[in-house]
Amino acid sequence: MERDERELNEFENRENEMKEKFNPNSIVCDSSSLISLTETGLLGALIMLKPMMKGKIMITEGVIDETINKPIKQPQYAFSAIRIKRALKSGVFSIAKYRMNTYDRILRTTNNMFYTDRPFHLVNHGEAEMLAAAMDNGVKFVLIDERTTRMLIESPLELKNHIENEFNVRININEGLFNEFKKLTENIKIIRSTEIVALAKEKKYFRKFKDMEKEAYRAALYALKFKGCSISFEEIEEMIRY
Amino acid sequence: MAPKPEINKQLEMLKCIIMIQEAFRDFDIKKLREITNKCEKNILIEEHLFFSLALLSYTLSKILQKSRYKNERFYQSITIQLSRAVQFAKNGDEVSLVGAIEKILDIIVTYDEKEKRYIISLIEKGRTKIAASLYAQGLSLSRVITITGAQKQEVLDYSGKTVMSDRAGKTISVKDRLRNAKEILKD
Repeated sequence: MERDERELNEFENRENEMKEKFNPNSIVCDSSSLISLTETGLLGALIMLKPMMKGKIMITEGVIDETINKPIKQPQYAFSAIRIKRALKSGVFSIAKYRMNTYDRILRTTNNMFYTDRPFHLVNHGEAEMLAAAMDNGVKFVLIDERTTRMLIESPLELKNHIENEFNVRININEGLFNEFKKLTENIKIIRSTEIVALAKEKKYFRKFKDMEKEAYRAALYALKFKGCSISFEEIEEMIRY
Repeated sequence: MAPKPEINKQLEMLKCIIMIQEAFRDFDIKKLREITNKCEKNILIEEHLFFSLALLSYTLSKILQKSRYKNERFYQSITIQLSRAVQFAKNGDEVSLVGAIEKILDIIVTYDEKEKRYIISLIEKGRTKIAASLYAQGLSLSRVITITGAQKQEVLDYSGKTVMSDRAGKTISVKDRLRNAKEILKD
């Protein structure tokens, strides 16, 4: 009886922790974007935007592991890891928690909604954790440079066609799971690091480059692409014109 | 597109390792690259086994390409292990086949350490290249990291230098994307 009560209290505490109110316009960051921003020396653009944001910049424990705890031990990545760690220590990021059942639901739907003669396993821990954190905290925005998860949310059928062409297989759809995933992610909007830099540019982030302001902005967008942000050349040129 | 008949895993692994053995014997770099691609596609059938075969094939193609690996004893030790690997595959012994592949990769690592030229080893490069290829084909980044053991930073870096994002992934207009992004800022 006492144990039941304790478990109930623990559950309620966790629920209360989860209920820490985050503005829906906060963003949950994936490691892919933090890596591209840091590797290009553009993490400052995100940091600059923080006080102008309606909500918080959130990261999960898994992202901390991927961008700080593991790479800090490897000389080739340690400097980027230190820069992210410094931002974390100075309060740029809030830690986002999530419920295991949301995480499991994401993995179950994403990894079973497409199948050949067996389920097509698309997504793993990192992406599922980030999506669960956004959903459980009622946050609309995720910052992600990785292409597959973005396509899965924005245009799953296009992703299906792409995989069919690449692997030369016919992929079937489990309609139930497909619709469940669509419903789960219907309020999620994706931002890439390039959009963060575009917002920073509007807030005069590149003014420090004086007469090279425009060129610096263009170069920054290309640098992000070359460091792995999933954006096309055409989109970059459109973004520059916009 | 007609549904593909289910591929016989054991037969496929035997075919792949025999092709690798023959291509290495014939110094056929192009063929080894083709086998790498074939094994990558087969990762859908059995990821660990076909990833090992893809990595082996890619690494051997690089060895044939680079003059610093031209060493008779080194080639011979690889050839011996390849023969063992083929034998295991003929017996349908998948575990021993993967073991023989790992042995070949160990031989390469040891040679690489003696003749060290680069900080990132040939095997690590192979992991990154295969991971980037699977990512380009549609698997998620964390999924390909799990399959290949590559570093996320390296895969992003490699992918960024390809045209994968130009070939697929434009899902929302730039205008809408920027309008969405502006919602995170105070008015």
